[in-house]
Amino acid sequence: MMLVDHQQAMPHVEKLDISQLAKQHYDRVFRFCSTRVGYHHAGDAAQETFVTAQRSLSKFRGESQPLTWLIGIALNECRRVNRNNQKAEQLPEFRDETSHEGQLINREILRQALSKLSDEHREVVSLHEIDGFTYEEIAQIAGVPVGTVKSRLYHAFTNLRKSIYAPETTATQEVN
Amino acid sequence: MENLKSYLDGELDIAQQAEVETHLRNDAELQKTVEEFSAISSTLKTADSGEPYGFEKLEERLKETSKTSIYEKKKIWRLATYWSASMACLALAAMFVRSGSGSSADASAGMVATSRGMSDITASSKVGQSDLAAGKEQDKSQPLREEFSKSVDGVDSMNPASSAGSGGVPKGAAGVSAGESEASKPAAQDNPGGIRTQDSGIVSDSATPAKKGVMTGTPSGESDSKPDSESKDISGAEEDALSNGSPNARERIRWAPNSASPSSQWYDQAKSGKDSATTDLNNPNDKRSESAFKQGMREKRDRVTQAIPGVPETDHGIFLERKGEMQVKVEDLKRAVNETTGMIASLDGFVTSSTTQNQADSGEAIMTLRVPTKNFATAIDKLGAMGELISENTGSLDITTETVNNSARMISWADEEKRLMDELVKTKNTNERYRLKGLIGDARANLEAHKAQVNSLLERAKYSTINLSLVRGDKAVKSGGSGNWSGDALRGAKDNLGSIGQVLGTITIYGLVFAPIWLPFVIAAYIIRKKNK
Repeated sequence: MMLVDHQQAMPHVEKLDISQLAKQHYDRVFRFCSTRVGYHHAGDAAQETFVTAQRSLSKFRGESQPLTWLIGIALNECRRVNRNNQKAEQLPEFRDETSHEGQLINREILRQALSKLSDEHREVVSLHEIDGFTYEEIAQIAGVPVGTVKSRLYHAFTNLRKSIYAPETTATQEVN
Repeated sequence: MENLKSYLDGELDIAQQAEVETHLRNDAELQKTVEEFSAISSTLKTADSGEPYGFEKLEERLKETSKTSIYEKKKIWRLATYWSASMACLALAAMFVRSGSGSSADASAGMVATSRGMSDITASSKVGQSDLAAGKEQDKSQPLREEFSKSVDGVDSMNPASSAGSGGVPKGAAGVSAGESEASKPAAQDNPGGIRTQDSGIVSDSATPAKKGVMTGTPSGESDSKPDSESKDISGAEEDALSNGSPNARERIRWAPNSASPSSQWYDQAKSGKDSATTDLNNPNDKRSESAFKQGMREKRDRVTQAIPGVPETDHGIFLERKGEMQVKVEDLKRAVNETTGMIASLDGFVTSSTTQNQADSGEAIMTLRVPTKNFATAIDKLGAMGELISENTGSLDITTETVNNSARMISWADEEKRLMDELVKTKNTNERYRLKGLIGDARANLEAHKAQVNSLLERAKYSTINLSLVRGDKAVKSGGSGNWSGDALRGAKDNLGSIGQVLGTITIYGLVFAPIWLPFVIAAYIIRKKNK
């Protein structure tokens, strides 16, 4: 049990316990990693995230939520894993949902559309739609203003829509 | 319609939401877009990240990492910092202690540190300063000839009992008369090859030339048939000869002291081929052998010291080469030069060189003066009183070790030459005579070389050197500055930079010297920090 005194750095969090943090947020961090580095590497990436967080615990100023801070570390860790494996960022797998069959989009088409997005747009879409973070949280993780997050999200969806529902137009635009 | 996505996510306030809804009611295309956005969003939310795993392993890793927690690592880092800082302080302290001791010695002597020249003088200034601080003339009561001959006889001068029997030799002086005191014998036995001067703290091992003697191939003559115990009381010089590798040397050492006859007969016995080693030095009842030994040593000492010209007076057995540098501002350059020449002559000194540049508004005369060492202080005082003293630097160079070493070698070669001559007289074999003549030639060459060195050294000790600069007019460099502020500033900056460079250099050297202590900690700290990152 490792306790870090954050009375000065983080007035509202007196003691931060990495083990407790791990219990609370491991699943979410794992899922976050899984959508970015793939299921097989997700375990290592998530573990490294918490180990790194343990080492950097003294640097945590309490200016954001612990989960947001952990996701920021996980994001860097995922990039490192992909870089070491010499792979581009993995695209998420999608479940085969039948209940909303009429509304859902073909998974492969969606994956292709996602792959066409810029890294920044894809990151915002993943954080919001897949990981379920709010705009403010995304802004903290990405280190950009909330307005930028909104803008990116809108443009990312616009591009996705075009890729999915009007692929020719998108191809023409890309050529241009 | 950038707010469309925010509208779908419920991130808009009521007014914005109402605005979007108004648009939606009137725009079918926008409605379609909303539906498509919703479909994309719904599909994205079906992302399958799989069942999490590895939490147990994470817990283990966290426990393992906690053993070397960040606090412990911080402690190591802190410890490394403290240790490095301590080492740095230690190095600095050592540096300042060393430089501080030197400067205090300088201060006690009233010496002015100079940035040019005199480096050899300041290096040994401590020795010379003792006389200056005392402010008295050196001890004139003890001629060097006697002291010197005692020193080269290899008697340990640090033995107080020895000095008691020396008759007028200051206590702790360079040496005492060999064999004059019974107490000197054990000392000589303890250190048969060493010549020690107490005040200088120098122990010169006169066996060094003996090693050279081995190379010269000293001829062997008579066989060594006497027991080794007979060669117990031998002087340093004799030990040198013994170390030459010549059995004859050992032979000579044995029979020479045992001679009951006066020293004038010492070598006559060798000439006549008589071996007088019938007396036993180890026999305390044999008074004849002891007196013969003493007499022989005295004779040898006198014989050697006859070859040494000049008798420079010495302070506690230390041979000092005194040096001084002065700059004096005078009104009349020519008159000052003449006065200096006359004054130096009155002090039994002489001018070795003199260069004068006399112009209308300025002039400078550079003179090199040699004065007897005993008159050095007087000369400095008188020269300083000739005008306005601008700078004065005095110091001494200790040449005791060099002098004593060369003298011991000279004695050794003198004995060798004598021995070879004796052999030559006895030998009738032509080949043997040629061989001996060759060896005698070598011995003479070595003897002359060492004699010349000793003469030179004693000359340096006998006469001090004063470099005098007499200046007039603008040539004079005022102690407060030359008036040329830019030149002064540049000179000062150069000096200061030189000092800073010296300090930095010293710190660097100490840092390198102490590197084995602090470097591992720094490396460890660096590795820990890197791991933490």
